[in-house]
Amino acid sequence: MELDINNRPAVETSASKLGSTVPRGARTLFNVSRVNKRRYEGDQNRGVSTAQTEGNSQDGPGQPNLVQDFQVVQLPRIDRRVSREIKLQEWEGQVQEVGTFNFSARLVDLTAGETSETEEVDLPFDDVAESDRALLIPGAVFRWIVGYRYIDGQKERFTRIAIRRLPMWTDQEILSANKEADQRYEQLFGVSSGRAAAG
Amino acid sequence: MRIPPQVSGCSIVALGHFNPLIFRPDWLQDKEIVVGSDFDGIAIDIIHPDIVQFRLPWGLLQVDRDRFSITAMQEPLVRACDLFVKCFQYLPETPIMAVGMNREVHFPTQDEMQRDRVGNTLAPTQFWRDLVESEGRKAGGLRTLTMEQSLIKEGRRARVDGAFGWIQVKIEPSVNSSVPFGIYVHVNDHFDLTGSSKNSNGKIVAELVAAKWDATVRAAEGWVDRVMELASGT
Repeated sequence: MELDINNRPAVETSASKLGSTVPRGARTLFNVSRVNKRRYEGDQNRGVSTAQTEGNSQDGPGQPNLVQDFQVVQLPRIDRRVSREIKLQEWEGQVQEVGTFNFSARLVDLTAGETSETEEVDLPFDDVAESDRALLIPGAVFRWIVGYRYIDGQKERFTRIAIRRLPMWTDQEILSANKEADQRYEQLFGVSSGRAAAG
Repeated sequence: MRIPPQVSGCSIVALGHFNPLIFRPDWLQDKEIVVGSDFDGIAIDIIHPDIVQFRLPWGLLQVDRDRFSITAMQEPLVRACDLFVKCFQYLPETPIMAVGMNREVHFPTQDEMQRDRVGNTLAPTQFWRDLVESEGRKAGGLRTLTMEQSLIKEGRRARVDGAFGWIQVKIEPSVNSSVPFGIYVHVNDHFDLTGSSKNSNGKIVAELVAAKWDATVRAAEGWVDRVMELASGT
């Protein structure tokens, strides 16, 4: 099902249904190729040489490169299918130490609905994509997922470590942390006024 | 969820005024919003002053002049939230009029009878018999059903938590041919930010999404699970 952005209600924040592709109203490449073709044919009829416009066009030899007129970057299309996955278990982890071949982390079992760290684990670097290994530093937060996925009818087990790009602290989180620190301070020293607040 | 979904995803959609060309992969990398294997796996569909769309290994980012949308189609779905919040923390002055968090699931049922049980429970066909039955046989059924939580407050729709907006749950037979006797459930948790200039900038919306995400996804999955319960009869 395709989404027509030109006919979309102004107040609708419902997402397009999963699996939708480029919105129909946004296919400017189609218009560009049509216009280019028309211009090219017009030039041919008027006897205009196309030699000056050939350049590095990917449209093929002899075709004018007019795509730049529309500031459109045309790239080869890469098909990417999303396989069906069944999630068996999900943890949120925080990296504690990074070794030569492994890293240790404390885990919160999200599948069990826990909210605090109850498990500790050593995981091999091999479970992390090569280009993500630089992100594995003490304190880094990641999600660890174990599940099944179906690819071309084959069922296979997978494990995925996704390192989160955590947003900066929000004002609300700073307020909440300050409140919690006040409570701890009060428990330790019996007064809450002497502590310097963060933020 | 008691039935493993065939297709599952989350998205965050913001309506406002955007400059699509800001959301290029190189900007996202500069700000350390998309890095590592996510950046390496980007597949660009289009980059144009009016629309930017590219696929990440786990989802899809689409921005046009009045709409920003990030969809996660692979676990962990929280990556959509991280990307959205971080983007608008870097763009705190962006005018945003509304934001919606969406959870979508296509799940299979065993057979037509099991799927019809959901439709017949949510929208009994007795009233519609002349329309959806012919000579005692089934000749139609529920195509789409949307239930909405909203009250009227100051002439606008508001939610029970006091914020302007609504929560919608939509149920349809799945149109995805890979989901046998499938059911599609879509929960839209919508916040209307118009009418208050203070509440309509990127920073406020980023904080709103960061604060509400977990609860929104949990509630949405609760609704999906209730529909699955109807289908499975357990």
